[in-house]
Amino acid sequence: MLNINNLQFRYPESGFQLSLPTWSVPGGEQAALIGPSGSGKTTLLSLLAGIREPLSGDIELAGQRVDMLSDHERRNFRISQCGLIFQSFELIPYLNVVQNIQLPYYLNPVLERTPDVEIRAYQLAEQLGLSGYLQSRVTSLSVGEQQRLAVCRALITKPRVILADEPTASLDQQNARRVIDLLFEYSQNEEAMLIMSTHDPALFSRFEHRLDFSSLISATV
Amino acid sequence: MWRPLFLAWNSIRYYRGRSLLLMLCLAITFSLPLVSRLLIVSFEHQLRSRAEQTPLVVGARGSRFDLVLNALYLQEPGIPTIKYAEYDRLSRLDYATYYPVHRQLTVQGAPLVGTAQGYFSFRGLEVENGKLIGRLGDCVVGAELANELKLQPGDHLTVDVNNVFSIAGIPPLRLNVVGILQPSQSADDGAVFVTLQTAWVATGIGHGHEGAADVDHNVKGNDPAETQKALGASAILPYTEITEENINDFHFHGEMLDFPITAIIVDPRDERGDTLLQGQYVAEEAPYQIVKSIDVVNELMDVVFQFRFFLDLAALLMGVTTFCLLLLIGWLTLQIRDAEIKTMVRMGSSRSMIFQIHTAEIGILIAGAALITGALMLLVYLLGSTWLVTWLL
Repeated sequence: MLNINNLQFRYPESGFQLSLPTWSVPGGEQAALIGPSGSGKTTLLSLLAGIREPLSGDIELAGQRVDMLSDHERRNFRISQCGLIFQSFELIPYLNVVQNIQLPYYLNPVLERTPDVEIRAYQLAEQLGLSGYLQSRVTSLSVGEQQRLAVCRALITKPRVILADEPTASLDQQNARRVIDLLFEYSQNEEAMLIMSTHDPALFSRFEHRLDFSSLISATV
Repeated sequence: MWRPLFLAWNSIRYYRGRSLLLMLCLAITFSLPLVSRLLIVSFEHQLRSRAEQTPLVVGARGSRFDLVLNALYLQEPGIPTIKYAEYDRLSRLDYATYYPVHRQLTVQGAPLVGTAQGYFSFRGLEVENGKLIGRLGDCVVGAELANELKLQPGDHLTVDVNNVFSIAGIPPLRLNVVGILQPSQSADDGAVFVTLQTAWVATGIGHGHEGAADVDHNVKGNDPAETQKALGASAILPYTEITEENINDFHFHGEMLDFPITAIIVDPRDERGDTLLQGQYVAEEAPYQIVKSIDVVNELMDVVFQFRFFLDLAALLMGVTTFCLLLLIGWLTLQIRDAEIKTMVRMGSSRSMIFQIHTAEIGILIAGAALITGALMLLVYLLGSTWLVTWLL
């Protein structure tokens, strides 16, 4: 369940301000953040993940009041409850494919790396057509393969929330469909909430919940 | 702790070229003062042990350093000579045991040392293969030189020509290798030893030729040029090798007592002998000097220690420069890897984990550099201080 009330955020450097009076998404459902570039989609995802702190307002996500958590708690919440997919994949060049999938387990001791984790990494790689590249360096992968790897990394911890920032922006139609299908499949099977920002109008219809940032801009900037 | 180590190790492996370069930079910074210290300690140990083993040296007046270097370390071949008569005179005094040294020529670049049989027992030198010198024209070779030139008893060595521009020069003598010495970790390992008589033949004071009895041997003194004139006048070519067949045709011109030697090693029987012998050379008009090897080596080491100060200073400056460069490289690396660090933080890594990863990377680099330094130190140690002494002198 996501509940946002009277959320206020402002970048001190640019003056950009985000205001969101209220927005709710039931648990296990899919929501799209739509709107032009620079409208605040990525900022909202950062606030939900606890990467940034709001000026005021409440954010309740997956049973946690994210705005009330300490730095340390927000990090633990993020790595254990959220699967993050970044616009530019942000893979680690010196790790191979299977190591990149397991990256969250190398970054925070709150996640215990059991033998099951590795098995799950292999299964995810298989599901997304990466099983032939497990020991390859990420730099040798195509853009589509890199994005699928980023999806695997987001799902390895079995997150209750997936926060995806334009995950299909740099993919061709076929790869984009494959990634979206997988995210929806995971969300529905695991009853995990999927919140995804996108520019692609063709995808809007697949989401039950939509937050259009173009209607917020005039009021907030 | 395994997490930062795992990530650090993978990063170092991925950026292996850069990592190796950093390790080498660190290793050089660590090594320079350590190797120079090791070299100097080895050098000092070698010099001192040899000097302690060789209490006194008699030689021509002049540089005390050159005299000690010639007699003890078989260097400085160009020092002024003294007459064999001095050795003969001292031998009649019961204060010490005396060993003549004539070190002027080279054999394939190695020192040719004319001496007496007693030198070998004095230095604790034993033959590993073959026998000691006894006959005119025979030589024994130090272990290291024999190994370098792949010499065995029965092989031959030719004395280096010391003046290629002299048409009527002394023909280079061919020596018979009769023995190879055991390694002694000293300057003796790199030398060729012959009897004094052989050394004199090699320098042209003695020679052999057909019909020796028919030639005018009425040459006075020990000047090789005079000997050559005598040979030239009789148009006879001297032998270049001493064999069983021609050994009796070898002879010397002039009085043996006038023949040259470069030094006399003196091993006093006791303190009294030491004092009495030193007293013999106190007078300013004394033609020769006697030096206490250890005093000369101590003076030499003082110079070396001053040199070490500059080495240490250079190493310190280099260390500071390298440290600054490493800081710059580290800062640039952090800039380059800024995106990677941000990703980790955004995914849920703490700043302390990032710090641990970079600390682990630095730790691995320093450990690698320490290993390279250790290997370098071991190499320097194994190369042997003998080589160092020879090279440094």
